[in-house]
Amino acid sequence: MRFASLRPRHPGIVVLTAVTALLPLVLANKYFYEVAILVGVNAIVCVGLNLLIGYAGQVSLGHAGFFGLGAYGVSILTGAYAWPPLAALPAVLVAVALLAAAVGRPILRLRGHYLAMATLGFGMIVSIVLVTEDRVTGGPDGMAVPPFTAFGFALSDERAWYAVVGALLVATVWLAHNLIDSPVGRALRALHGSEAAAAVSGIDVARHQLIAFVISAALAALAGALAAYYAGFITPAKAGFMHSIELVTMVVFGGQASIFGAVVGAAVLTTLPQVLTAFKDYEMIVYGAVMMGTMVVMPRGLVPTLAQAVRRSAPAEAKR
Amino acid sequence: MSALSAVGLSKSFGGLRAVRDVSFAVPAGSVYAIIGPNGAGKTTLLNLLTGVYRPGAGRIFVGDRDLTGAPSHEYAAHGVARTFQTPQMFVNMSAIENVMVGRHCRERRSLVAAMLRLPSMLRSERASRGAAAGLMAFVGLADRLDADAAALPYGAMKRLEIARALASSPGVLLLDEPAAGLNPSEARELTALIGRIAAGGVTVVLVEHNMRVVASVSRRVLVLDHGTCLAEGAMEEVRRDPRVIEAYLGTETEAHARDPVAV
Repeated sequence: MRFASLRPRHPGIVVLTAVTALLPLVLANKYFYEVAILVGVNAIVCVGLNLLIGYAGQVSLGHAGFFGLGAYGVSILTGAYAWPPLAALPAVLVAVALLAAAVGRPILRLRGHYLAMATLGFGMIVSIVLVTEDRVTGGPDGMAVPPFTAFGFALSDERAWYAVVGALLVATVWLAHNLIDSPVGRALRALHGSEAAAAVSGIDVARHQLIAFVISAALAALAGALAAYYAGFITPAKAGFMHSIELVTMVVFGGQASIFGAVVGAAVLTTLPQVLTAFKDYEMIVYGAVMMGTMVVMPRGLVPTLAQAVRRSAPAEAKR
Repeated sequence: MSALSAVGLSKSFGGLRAVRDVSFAVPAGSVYAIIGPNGAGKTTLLNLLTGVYRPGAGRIFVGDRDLTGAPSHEYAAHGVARTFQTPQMFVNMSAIENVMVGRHCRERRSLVAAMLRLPSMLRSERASRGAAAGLMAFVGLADRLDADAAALPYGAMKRLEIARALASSPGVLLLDEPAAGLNPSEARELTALIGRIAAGGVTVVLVEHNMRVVASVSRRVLVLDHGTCLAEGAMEEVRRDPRVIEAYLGTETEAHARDPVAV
């Protein structure tokens, strides 16, 4: 018992670390690395978004806005103002977190569809500003992002980027798990279950909703910044409505209130369009179909549904 | 000193005056009952006393602290805990986690310590889990620690909710119809549980329909009718009050004499 805290509480985190570490063995070329890095970036957003949607039960249709702010924030600071990336990144994360707190305070009072509409509005404002402020952002054509340099080295090799994104994803999953297993995480899950009961149990509902909103916004901004530095170029589409919808679809498909569900959802739905390149024009139709299919066949999402199936069959086998 | 008191409390919903000018004081260390026919405003009063609703007029004191208009979590922080008429489980959590939520305002809540799982957080979590397990044993759910809270039988949910309310180490525990939906033997167990809670020094405020439960555990009672206070005082006096007999208790005690369980 003394070393209980050293035992991995979730076998999933060991699996995720192993998969992340061993995946390069099958990543045959640059293109595979590109897809894997994109999966990692989306997974980081989804783990954060799942804290908000899956655990705290608050819908956001505007998280691509935070992703875009992260991306444009670092590229403007590193490009136009020549900040070193290691200073630009934390500055942008703090700024986005503060903005999320300022935006979240009034809109998190809204419930259900009204909150979804408000976050949608926020995302649209960000997207419109990025398009129209073309002197700073390059407008609809997007802008080039200087490479990520630190300690005299430029991060350009795919393998190095894969290692950075992979390590950050594992760290994000670990932090998210710790959070969920703490008083704060229980408070989030409780207010999702019954807001009135959570409040009379001593939980400051508004404060905890805001915590989930700010954490998820900061993670979206981190992912946006990574994507921008890695790709070396960004367009306002990444801050747009469609990207927000993609992110929510990943969370719902993978499994609400499941951290690994968010990772799996991001992995499947990021890879799927690459596999279906022949259907490129129908990508959004595929997304829509996946969303509808998930809601009908497994409303709890892929990972929780599979986990339950495994749990159900396990005792049956033990009896035999 | 009174553990919980209200002065001139009123609450309206549109044209409906659900609670009208109600004043009372719950003596510390007692079991205090609030009774009245359906629609008398009992649950509204309980919601006012826990910050779920803001009163339209009047003041609420916890001990000698004025908490009028404070949000629910501040009532909890000042030692007021409650249960609901229909159990409000946190359905996506295990039974023991439900109880641990009750300890929220007594726990270490640093975000950084939580995310990095620092030793201070591990200690706090161990203490919480231990306390929650102890409370589940106290209410008779020692064998259900890791059960899915949503899958518990109704009676077990009601007891789990009491454990969750006790987890905040409250000075005052408000129970909204704890015996509703329970069979006679479960109601007896519940009466014994309320007795044990009161014996532990927790002031209990009981909103209840089941007269047998009320009569066996509480000595003071507040009778509500159409949102107003009809009578307040010792059980025996209130029972003899002609207004109470006329409005509510009269028919009830007759029914009570014929069938002590049915109400």
